[in-house]
Amino acid sequence: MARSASLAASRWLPSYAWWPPADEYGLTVVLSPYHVTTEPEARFETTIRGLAGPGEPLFEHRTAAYGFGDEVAVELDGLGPPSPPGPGGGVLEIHPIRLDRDPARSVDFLGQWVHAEGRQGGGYIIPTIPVRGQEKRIDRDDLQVLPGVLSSTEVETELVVLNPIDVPVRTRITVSSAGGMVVEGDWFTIEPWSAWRSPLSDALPRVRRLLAEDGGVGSAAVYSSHKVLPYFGLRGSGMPLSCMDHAAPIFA
Amino acid sequence: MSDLLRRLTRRAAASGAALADPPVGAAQADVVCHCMQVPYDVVRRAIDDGATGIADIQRRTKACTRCFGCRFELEALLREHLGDSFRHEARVEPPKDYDRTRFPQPMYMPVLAGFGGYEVDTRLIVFNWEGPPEPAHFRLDLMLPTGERVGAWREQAATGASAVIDLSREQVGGLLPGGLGLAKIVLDRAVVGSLRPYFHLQTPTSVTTTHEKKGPKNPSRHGPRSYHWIFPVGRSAQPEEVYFHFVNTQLEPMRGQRLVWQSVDGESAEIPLPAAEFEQSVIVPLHEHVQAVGSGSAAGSVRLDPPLFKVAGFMLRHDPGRQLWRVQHL
Repeated sequence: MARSASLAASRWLPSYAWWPPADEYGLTVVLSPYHVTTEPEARFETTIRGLAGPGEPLFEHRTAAYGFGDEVAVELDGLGPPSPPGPGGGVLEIHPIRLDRDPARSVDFLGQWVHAEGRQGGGYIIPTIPVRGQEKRIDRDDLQVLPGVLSSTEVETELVVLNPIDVPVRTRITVSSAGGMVVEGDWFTIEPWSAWRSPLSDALPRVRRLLAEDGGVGSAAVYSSHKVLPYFGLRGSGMPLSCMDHAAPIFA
Repeated sequence: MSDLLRRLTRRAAASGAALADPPVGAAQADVVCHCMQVPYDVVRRAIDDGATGIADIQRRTKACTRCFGCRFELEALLREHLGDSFRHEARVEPPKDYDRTRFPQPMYMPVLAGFGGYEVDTRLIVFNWEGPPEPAHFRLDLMLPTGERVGAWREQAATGASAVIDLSREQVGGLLPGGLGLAKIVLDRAVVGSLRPYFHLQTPTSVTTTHEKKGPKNPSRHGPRSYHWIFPVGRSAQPEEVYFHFVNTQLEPMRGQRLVWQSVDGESAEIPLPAAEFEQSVIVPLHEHVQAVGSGSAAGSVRLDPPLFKVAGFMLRHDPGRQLWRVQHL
């Protein structure tokens, strides 16, 4: 299931989202031309791939061509793909391309959306994001931040970090309490095309004590040898996850 | 409005306000334009000397020349003096020498503090990490959906630490009729670095988070956009309340706008929107307008149409039974 030459060579770059275990979430990839253009002649085709490691994708789905004025939604449940192996999930690659023209810039991407419904309630809505091709001016690729992480007996942060490139990425998570006390985690490796997932207090066992004096609130920094895509969600005790958002870059 | 603002600001500060060091003091409460540090008295003198509109006040005092967040307070001062001859101007005019590039863009977030009678509160977090060694200072404005400011606080995030600001029912609920407001962050430094604010919506059972949305680099420029703001909708197993919240971040009033629901099956519906001036916000209960969105029976999207304005928008899904709010920026 190698990537087709036309897709690999396209100047329209892919974007990504977390591919969670199928027994936890039902995912709908909302492909709305309205979100990326107002040009009535625009035509699109989107390839969705599930990856969980450096080998071949575990599934691939290519939509029929669609145009401005259409709304398209791909429900993963309807495709019947395998679940990514392991509780950490995998990487969902969403690769819309314009069929009618190339990007105006050297490369560009067509960001779309994932609507995730928790099987036990809750869930999240999140934009798909690229590894490169964004216009925002970013100061560095080795650091991103997660403002407002929580870790207590009542609420826990769930961390997900995607490595959507071909090389292993060394990663480290540091948490700072609201008052500025810091716990640094150890470096660990995320294999190519893989997702790493952990409750914050499992990743940094001292974090609950660190944050206790500040009401369980702090912020985290994710350091990495190459750019990764970190996400975090919050889960009340005994409750489903009710959000997932991406990290903030260090803006230039 | 000026007296109201002073009273409310003092009340929030006196209540403990969880509004981090340094809180607004009496002197700060006498300031109407917090960007340019222009006191009420200076504006009153300008009006006494003949200023009859915002543009006059801008020229004479420099008030309302940066973020424009004080315009309703200035209008209240003008109305006090001019009475019925005062005319509200829907469009905010920047001063002639206005150069937006000198300032970081304001950042906006919804504030839910008892919205809809629900047990929901808001908390705001600004993380100052690996930036310049000095604390990061910023201003937090709390605004009503009408755009009127009901509180303004000076805040700071120490290096390596987070400013955690409590915008709960207890702290600000009294300032927000209906439990709904808008937070606006204005940074004192030009480089945002790690300072993008995130916010939590807290209920007794859950916490949900996403980040702010910035205003445009030049809020006075307005015209066709290259894409629509959309609210993506997937099918859902259970009914939910679904809200589309946005604020007009451009100086031009939004008029003639509508929301358009379109399902993957081609079903569509239109929701006309009220006019919204600069920094006026709108929350639309989509579930009351489009049955399929609330019931979760269809996938598609809701788009803001025509695509003419930059909004700071958010989507909110609410499961009242479990008290779960899901929030995401547009």
